[in-house]
Amino acid sequence: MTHHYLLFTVLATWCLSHANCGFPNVNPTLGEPWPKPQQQVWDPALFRVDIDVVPFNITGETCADLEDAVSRYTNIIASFIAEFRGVTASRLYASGASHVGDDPPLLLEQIEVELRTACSEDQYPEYGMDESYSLTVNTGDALGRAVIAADTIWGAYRGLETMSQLFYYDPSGAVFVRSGSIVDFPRYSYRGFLLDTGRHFLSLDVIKQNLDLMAFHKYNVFHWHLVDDPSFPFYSVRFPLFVLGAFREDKIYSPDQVADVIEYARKRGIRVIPEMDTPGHTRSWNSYDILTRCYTDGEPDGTFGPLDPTNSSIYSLITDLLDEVTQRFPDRSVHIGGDEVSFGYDCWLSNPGVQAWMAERNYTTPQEVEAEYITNLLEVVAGLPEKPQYMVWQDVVDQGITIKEDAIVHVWKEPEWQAEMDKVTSLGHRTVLSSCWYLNKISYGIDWYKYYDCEPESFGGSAQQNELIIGGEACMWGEYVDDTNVVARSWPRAAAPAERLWSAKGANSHSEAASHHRLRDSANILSKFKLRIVRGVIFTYMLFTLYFYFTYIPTYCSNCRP
Amino acid sequence: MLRHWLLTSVAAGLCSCGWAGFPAVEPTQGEPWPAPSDLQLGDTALLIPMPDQLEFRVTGHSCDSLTAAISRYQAIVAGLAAPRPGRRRRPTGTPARRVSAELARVDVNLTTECSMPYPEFGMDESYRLEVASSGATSGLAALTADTLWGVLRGLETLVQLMYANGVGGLYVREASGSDGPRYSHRGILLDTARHFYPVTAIKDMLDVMAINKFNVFHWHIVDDQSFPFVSETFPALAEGGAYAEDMVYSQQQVQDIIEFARLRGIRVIPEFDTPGHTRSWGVGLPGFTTACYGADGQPDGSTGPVDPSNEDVYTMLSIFLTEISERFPDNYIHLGGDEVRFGFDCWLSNPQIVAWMQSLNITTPEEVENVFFQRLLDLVADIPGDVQYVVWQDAVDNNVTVRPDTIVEVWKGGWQVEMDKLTAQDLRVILSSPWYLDYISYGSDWHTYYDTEPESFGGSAQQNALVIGGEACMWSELVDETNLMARLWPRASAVAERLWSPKGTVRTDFTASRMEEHRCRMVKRGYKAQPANGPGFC
Repeated sequence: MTHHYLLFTVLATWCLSHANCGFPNVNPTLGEPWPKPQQQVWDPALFRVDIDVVPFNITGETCADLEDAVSRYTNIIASFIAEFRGVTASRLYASGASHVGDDPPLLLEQIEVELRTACSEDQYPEYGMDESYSLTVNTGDALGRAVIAADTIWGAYRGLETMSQLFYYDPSGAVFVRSGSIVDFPRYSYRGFLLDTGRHFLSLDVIKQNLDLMAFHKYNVFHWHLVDDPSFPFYSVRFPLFVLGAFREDKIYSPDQVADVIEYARKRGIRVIPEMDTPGHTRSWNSYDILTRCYTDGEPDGTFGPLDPTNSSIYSLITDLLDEVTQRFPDRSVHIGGDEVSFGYDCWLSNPGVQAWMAERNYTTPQEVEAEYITNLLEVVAGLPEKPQYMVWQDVVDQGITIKEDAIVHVWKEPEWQAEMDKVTSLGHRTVLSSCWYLNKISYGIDWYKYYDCEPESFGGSAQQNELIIGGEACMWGEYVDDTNVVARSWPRAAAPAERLWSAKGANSHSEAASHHRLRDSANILSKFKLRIVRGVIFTYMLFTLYFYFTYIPTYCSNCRP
Repeated sequence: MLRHWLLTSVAAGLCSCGWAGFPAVEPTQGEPWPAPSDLQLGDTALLIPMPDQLEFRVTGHSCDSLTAAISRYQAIVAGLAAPRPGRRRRPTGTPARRVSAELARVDVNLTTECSMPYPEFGMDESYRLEVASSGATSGLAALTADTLWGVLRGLETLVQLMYANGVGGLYVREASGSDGPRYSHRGILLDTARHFYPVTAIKDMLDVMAINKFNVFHWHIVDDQSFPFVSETFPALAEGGAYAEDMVYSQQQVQDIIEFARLRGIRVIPEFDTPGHTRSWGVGLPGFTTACYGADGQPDGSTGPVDPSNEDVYTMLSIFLTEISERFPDNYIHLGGDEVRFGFDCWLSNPQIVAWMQSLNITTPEEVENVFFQRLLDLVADIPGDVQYVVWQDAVDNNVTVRPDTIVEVWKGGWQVEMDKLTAQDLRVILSSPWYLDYISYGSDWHTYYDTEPESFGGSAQQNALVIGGEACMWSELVDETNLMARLWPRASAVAERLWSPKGTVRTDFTASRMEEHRCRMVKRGYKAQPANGPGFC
């Protein structure tokens, strides 16, 4: 039957030399790191990798943490090489960079890591830590090798990650590394990702996988929304009965497991900030008799509202609980919530005990009840031996409650987040933005554009106000995600805020953002715009290869088209 | 301090019930999905004492396909009994069931011969099931069906009547009655052209289709973006148009998928969509697609739809579709025919096609489309064997003359008007417009899919009889192996119940509870079905 092939003989022969093309929407770049480094100068020299395992050489200070990281990246790079060497002969790739030269390329011999200050396992990542690094690959005095240099281990981690993203391969199956030099540091010190283990339980494996992906994108804060209305999976040593509010006995994080997560994060330069949200979002806390009983027609109706403000023992409980939490989580910050208390107002007002208590105080509104609780809570936090800094959801400030000057206000509401940022920074508070990065809210299409285009400083504040923006946080609330879909739903969408928070302001401007809609339908994409979309795509495939060890990479080819 | 809190908690009296939490929706226990048409479920249950040794006895006819199914379901039952890591209380609102007997055996009675049948449109999928907890047959589960397909559906229902009680015991509900589908065509479309899926991902999908009693895999195998199907007669198509050499479906793999589906009572209907959506065809067979011309009267390097003026095209399609009809045992081929208008400008830009149009005395691109599609249908009619076809609604909307036994797939908005129109023309229809599952939105969107009633267009009984089913479509612009399962399930389960269960099945709070159980059922059987109802756990 194959003789029918001759029907189109002449043209078909032409095509055979241009096999396996396909028409992907966007062609990927080769060896472009994400998030985009602050300064990068590429050298057009080809730099090839002929060895299966690229050796690292630690030339400065070292410690077990650094050695572990180097071993991790040795494996990541070796997997990448093993994945592609030899199996890609048929694959044609369009190169984002031009690598043309007559001389045979130099070969990568080793990667040097120069840490300039001592490191130890006692180091814990903290707000404002130095994450800067420089990377020189096959250029200047680093011909034939790559050099990562950093003052801190945090910078070394970031540099190792960037290094691992410079590898790519060409149609012959040969592996290359981009040549050039990079000087890099973050725009914002707080680059967070929230996981919510109160609405669905997430296994330790998935939490760790997410931490790996966070490190991949230079995120440095895991905001662990531990508990919420639906369940209380956090095992408190001081209050063990709380876990009766867990979904099931195997849906609990033991103290060892929590410590394991913290250590896993620490070794990737990621802080873990726990959240204990009160007085709302506490339905699962009812193992202890601290919730307001709601009344209907003058009788308790069996439902429960926020913490019961008339029960003075709630303060000793929350003191002890936060004492435990701040001791077990080494981060200096603790998130104490304070959002959406208004959902419980009716319950408060329905309860005769609360009514009497309010009357004693001459309170007439539930807002006053909330304010008293939060004010007392802030005093509790101030009196803790660990002296934590605290973070609160914006609701607390919106209620006009006075908070400590160094408290961090977490802006989450939409759509008026710009006015809120203006207000909060005018009050002199540091702030973290999440409103535009609620990644749990899905929609059809390439929605990462809008996450990418959100500029935290776009509210038009003064330079002084802008300085109070310490960063942002992508939130993956747990209503509709669990182990089955949280990774695919988070990534690569969370890569967009990662670049916004790390890369230089205006690295990709709003005028580019405005072009997105044109881009979608345009066959002729302006190369300047293309680059950034393209980097998103290659990133997706890096995920597949490095994390899921998939056996394929969608192939892209533009030079085969007529 | 600790003692103090223990005291108040006891006083609160809230924790005596054990692990609780507050899931948004409590699951049912042992409620099958999709809901059977006429199966009475009792409020007693039977203990399955040794699930991994549960005996399935073939009492009627048998064949390899049947014994393969029984082996599969034996393994599933054994898996259901795997020790659960944690205990939980009985879900709120679920009545305690009296356990009055033990299940001793499952009798499978296939009443007619089965050799190696292939599932087809209109096949009998009905079965009878008796799980008795009293009387002479107490302790026996008896499944009876006239066809292999009915046995397959019945076995699936039987294992869905089973539930674990949380302390290691496995139970099966008492049941008596029969079940059969409302519609004969219950499909899932998977698009393997926008993104490539490895065979394992397709097989996983077929497994979950069987859990949900879907019976058609509409394989949208090629499209503009890539041509992963390896043709015997035109190997250049995949050589040129696949994303990569290893991103193709070989002849062996295609056969493997068809067989895997057959064993689960699932038909495989391949789609080869022309004359639009063919960009990838033109790489391997460059004369196949139209060269578009720019304003300067020169080819601009881009290509449009199939070139209808090239006689080779019809010869090629005739040979190619003959190969397809031989390699895919289903009686139907999907011939596409959608969205041709995207290529109208290209057709009109090409001087050869303009000259060809003049020779035929036609002036509009709609007429070009008709000429092409008419010839396509004619050449399909000449293929040996009785090849029937499905087309997207566009062909009929554009007044192409189709065979009276053509099945038309409705996919556009305004589907009720379209369903009315097509059935009034006496054509059979498949509905997919409301079930484009690639379109995602926040929240429990399965409600919308569930609530869609295909016969809500207000047609006559005769018109309704022409509605043969529906399809959930998973187009792959933004889906690949990483997110297919979670995005498809359990959202497609809503469509499954609408197409299987009797007309008038309405969504209630109980439906949501059944959905909660069903989603976890898929998770426990190893498939990544995502949360359906908000906070909760499996």
